[in-house]
Amino acid sequence: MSYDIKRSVSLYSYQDEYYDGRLDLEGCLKETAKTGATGVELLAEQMIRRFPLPIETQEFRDQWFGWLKEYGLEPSCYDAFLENRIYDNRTLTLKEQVNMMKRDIRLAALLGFHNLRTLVSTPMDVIEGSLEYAAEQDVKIGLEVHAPFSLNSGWADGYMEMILRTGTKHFGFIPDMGIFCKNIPSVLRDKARNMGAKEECIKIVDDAYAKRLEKGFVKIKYDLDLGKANMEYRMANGMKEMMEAVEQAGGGPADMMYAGSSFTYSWSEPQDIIDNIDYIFHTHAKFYHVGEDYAETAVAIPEVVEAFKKAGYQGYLSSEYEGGEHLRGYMQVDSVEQVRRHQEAMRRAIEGA
Amino acid sequence: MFDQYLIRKDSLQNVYEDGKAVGFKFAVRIADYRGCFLSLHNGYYINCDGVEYPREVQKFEINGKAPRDFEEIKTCVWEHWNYDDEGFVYVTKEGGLAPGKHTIGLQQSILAQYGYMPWDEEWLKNPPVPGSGAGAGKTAAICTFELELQEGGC
Repeated sequence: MSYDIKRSVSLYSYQDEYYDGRLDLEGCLKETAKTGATGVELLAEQMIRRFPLPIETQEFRDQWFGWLKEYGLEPSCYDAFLENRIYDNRTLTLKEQVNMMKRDIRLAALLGFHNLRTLVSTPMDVIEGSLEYAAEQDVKIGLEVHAPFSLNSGWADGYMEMILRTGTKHFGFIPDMGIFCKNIPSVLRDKARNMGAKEECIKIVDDAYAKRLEKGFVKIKYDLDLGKANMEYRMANGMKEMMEAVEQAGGGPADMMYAGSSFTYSWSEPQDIIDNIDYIFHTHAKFYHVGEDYAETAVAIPEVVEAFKKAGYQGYLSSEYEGGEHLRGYMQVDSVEQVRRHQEAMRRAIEGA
Repeated sequence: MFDQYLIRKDSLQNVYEDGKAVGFKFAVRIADYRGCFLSLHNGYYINCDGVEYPREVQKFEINGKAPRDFEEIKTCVWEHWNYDDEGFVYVTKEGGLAPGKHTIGLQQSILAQYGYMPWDEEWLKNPPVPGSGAGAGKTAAICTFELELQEGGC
């Protein structure tokens, strides 16, 4: 099957440079273009000041489209957040949440995006209630499939049922490549060591991860209470036993941090991409650390890209760097270099025979 | 997440009214990876030199407006705290702080959507009191800062 795999950068990747003023929005776009990526993913709440007001103005939009033209970039995905706790005394009603989703769809369309990422916490009714408007605006709503969630799971089945029942072409999945981690990312281990973790405890956690990988992760169930589903998932995957082993080995805060955080990564079979390709139109190419040899320390980039090729994927792989949060406590983060390397690693995987 | 940037190191100053010190203030950044609507920001856990200062004695200054208490902040539903903007936390304390070094324990509480944390459902029913373990973004720790009181202030 013929594929058309394009490369994008999520500006989430440059959060450190943006935070301390080394890059502004235009600077991020410029860096994105330098990597050879042709797409850009935006978290409007991160880099558009006084969100959402400027998006409503022609002046800002002219500037945005001017930049895209200048740097040769296409809008790939708009990342939305459904803030349902903005009123102190209550959660937003269903109608208010649908209206907020529609607002985000409209803002995405105004900036030229045809894909919108929504968080796993978005209620099904809110998605269903927005589908007609999404079709009108030609924007597809993508549910992020981020560890501990996975495709081909009880959780994903809940959404598949809705897709099949409604026949919608405007909802699907946005896999986050953090669900294809063969190891715990090296930057997390480095941080744990820097905080004083014991080698013995690190080994317990790494061995437990390897065992989960070998046995296959127990998948998460569909539940309206995501916190509960997450805890059940953790327990089913042996978190309790592992935490006890770390404690018995005399684990302190650094060891417990490493042990607990190891459950935010997971491994799914790349075949899941092939099985679900009809419902995948954008992908978060999550990564944690790419070495000078262009090898990612945790995410199985070549295997996953191979699955996208086999499946005939038509869409973007959007670099999403998340190693910085583990490093910034003790060193300067260089997201620009990390994204450059990651784009090169993806280019090799996509263009390789 | 951006824990070590929460307080700007050279920003601790006393606050004066009619020539008398009535408290202290320091500059903060958002600990999450994005901005937020102000009403989601429900205060700080603040411990200065072993004394806790609850939300009732805290005020927050942002967006060029005079410092507002958190009863008012929670009504600022559509006002945005930009990711790259610094705000000031004001704490009422008669006489202010003595010159020299001070140890401040801080946790910022922002009830933004994160997605799937075990505490999410609980937050809907029972918003956390800052310091009880819920922080901004992924920051659930109380961060400690050693700060030197700066001259001046207003």
